[in-house]
Amino acid sequence: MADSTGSTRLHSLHPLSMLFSIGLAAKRLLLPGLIVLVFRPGGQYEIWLMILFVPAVVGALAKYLSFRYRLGPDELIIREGIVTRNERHVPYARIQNIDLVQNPFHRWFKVAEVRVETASGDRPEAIMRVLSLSSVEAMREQVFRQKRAARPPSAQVDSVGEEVEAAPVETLVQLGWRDLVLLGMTSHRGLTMVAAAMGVFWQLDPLGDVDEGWVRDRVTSIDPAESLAVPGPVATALLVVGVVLMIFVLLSLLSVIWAAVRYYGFTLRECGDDLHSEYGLLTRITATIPRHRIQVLTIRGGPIHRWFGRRAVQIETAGHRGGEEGQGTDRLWLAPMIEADKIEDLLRRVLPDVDLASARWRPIALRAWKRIIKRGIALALVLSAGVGALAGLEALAIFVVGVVLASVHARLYVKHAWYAVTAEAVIYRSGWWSRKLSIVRFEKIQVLALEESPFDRWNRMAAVRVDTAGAGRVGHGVDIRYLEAGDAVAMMERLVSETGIRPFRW
Amino acid sequence: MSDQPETTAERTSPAEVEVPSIADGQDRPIDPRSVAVQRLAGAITTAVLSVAALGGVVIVLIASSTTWLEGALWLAGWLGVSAAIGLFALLWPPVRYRYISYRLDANGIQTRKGVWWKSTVNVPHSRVQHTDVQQGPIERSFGLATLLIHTAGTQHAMIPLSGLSHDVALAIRDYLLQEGERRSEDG
Repeated sequence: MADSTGSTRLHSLHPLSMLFSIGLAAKRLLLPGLIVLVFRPGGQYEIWLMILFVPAVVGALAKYLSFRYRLGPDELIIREGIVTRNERHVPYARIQNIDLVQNPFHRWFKVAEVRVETASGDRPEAIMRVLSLSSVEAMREQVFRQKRAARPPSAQVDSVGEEVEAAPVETLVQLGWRDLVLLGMTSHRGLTMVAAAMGVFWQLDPLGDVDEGWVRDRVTSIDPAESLAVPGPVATALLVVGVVLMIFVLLSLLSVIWAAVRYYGFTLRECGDDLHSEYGLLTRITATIPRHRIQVLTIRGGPIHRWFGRRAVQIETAGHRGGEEGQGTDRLWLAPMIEADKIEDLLRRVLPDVDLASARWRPIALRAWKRIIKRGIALALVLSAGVGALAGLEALAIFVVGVVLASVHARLYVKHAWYAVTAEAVIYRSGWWSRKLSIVRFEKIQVLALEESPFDRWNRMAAVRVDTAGAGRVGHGVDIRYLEAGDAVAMMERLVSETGIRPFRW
Repeated sequence: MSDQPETTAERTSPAEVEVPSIADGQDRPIDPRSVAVQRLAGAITTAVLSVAALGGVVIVLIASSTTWLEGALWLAGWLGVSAAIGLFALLWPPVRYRYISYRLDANGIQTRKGVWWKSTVNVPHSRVQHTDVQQGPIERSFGLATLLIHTAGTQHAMIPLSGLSHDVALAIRDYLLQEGERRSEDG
């Protein structure tokens, strides 16, 4: 291996690590206890948690003293532990990405929490809390340079070749404030935040001491008819509409604030073969994604996105997704919000060998709407039968509405489901309300499955499922139902041979 | 395929010379002895279930003072259900057996299974991460084994193929291993 700089040097964590580890322990163990103490004096199990703080501090100290890492010629070696010593070797070739998380304190001290992620498992292979920015840079350089060198020159679409180091940095995506507002509107974070707040409120019950009778007297003394000077029912209706509207505005506002804080200053840069994304107002997240590590790319467009001519672009990598710990659904964003007409350009940069524009789209079986509608009608029948047992004949209306909805859904479902097999990838798009399009390159296909249910066989149809590493555990993938049986078999054969001739590289 | 890209040029050509006899692209059934294994496993399950159910019936009969007729009906019901489960355990394995097959060829391994819900799963050679050959106690007494193919996929992270004779399972494993190594060298 060409470079040997620092290959034998042992590095330790940044001295401030102790401070941050203690801080984290305080946040996890002391904070709940303190909140309970303030709002609800008296015996609560959260207070017992505070005792655990002492061993946590000792642990942090031990970790700092024992933690050493070494940037070997082609692997990262991590040693830790005092009682049980552990040495972990992570080959550079297996490292998927090195992500940085910086909250305001980290940024103040110019350090970062580093997550080294490999394809195995759903948690990072190594979390280094914390390293100075210069050591992070040194590590990144070593890891990614060695990895590039390890790859044969013929491999991949490396038109840039070996002068990747010198490749100019180019900004691909940048979010403005309008995008952040839209992002907030399309997310339902406000709702989750309120739900979480309600949960905490319920648990702590800070109003427990307030005399309920007093509140009741206050509330009942307000007469809506009197204060608004309009007759009773109208006032009540206005009140309800007003409250609903206010809740909606409040939730949207919360969502927008959430989006603005979390995705503030989102930028995606292209730097040679790597993509760098950076975002966050308070906690700053920096993720490096080698371009060829993209397993699945999904473009989403809900009704609000489409109204404003925007889309969202997500990717799945084989490793644990970037972002916060334990957030399984937070896939990597290439662009949380992007103008629809810029997507083609972005795709050309990110997946240069996939040509979306020249894809020859093929429909799923057109008669599939009959199957989909039957399911809808069956559902409507069950639902209206249930209501009918309770309410009587009014259930008929539910049935009629159900049938109408089912037929609209069935027609639109079939109308919007298309697939294409291009020279290098398989693409599937579906959904009429929220539209999704997923691209899987042949190289990244792991397993192919052709599935036929009894209903499929009765209708001479089949489903083709394309499985990849990190395949949409929650999202959209290439999972095509209601194909004509002949098309499905032909597609399967084509994909099997295309995949078979391509070696797999993470 | 007319629109195949130029990558076909760098196709890792499968060495036709030393393709073992198992990788002939033929759909092969699993070992017929697997029917007996399935039946035995079914018989054991039936026995356990029906003994447990009998215990339940006896407790019900003792706890509630039933007439002789009611008691007889309960027992008849128990007998009927047990017999139905037993019959299913006897008749189903040969049906299921007819619908399981596997195929090895230059591309990889393909398994087919399912009587009502059929699924054909294909794993290309280069996507096999590792393989296990497992033997349960019943399987071992019949000389059979289960081959587990591990991939980096998500829904199909592991593809099981049970009811192979132990020798065949080992042969497939060796072939997949050797093929995978050859391909990663080429790649």
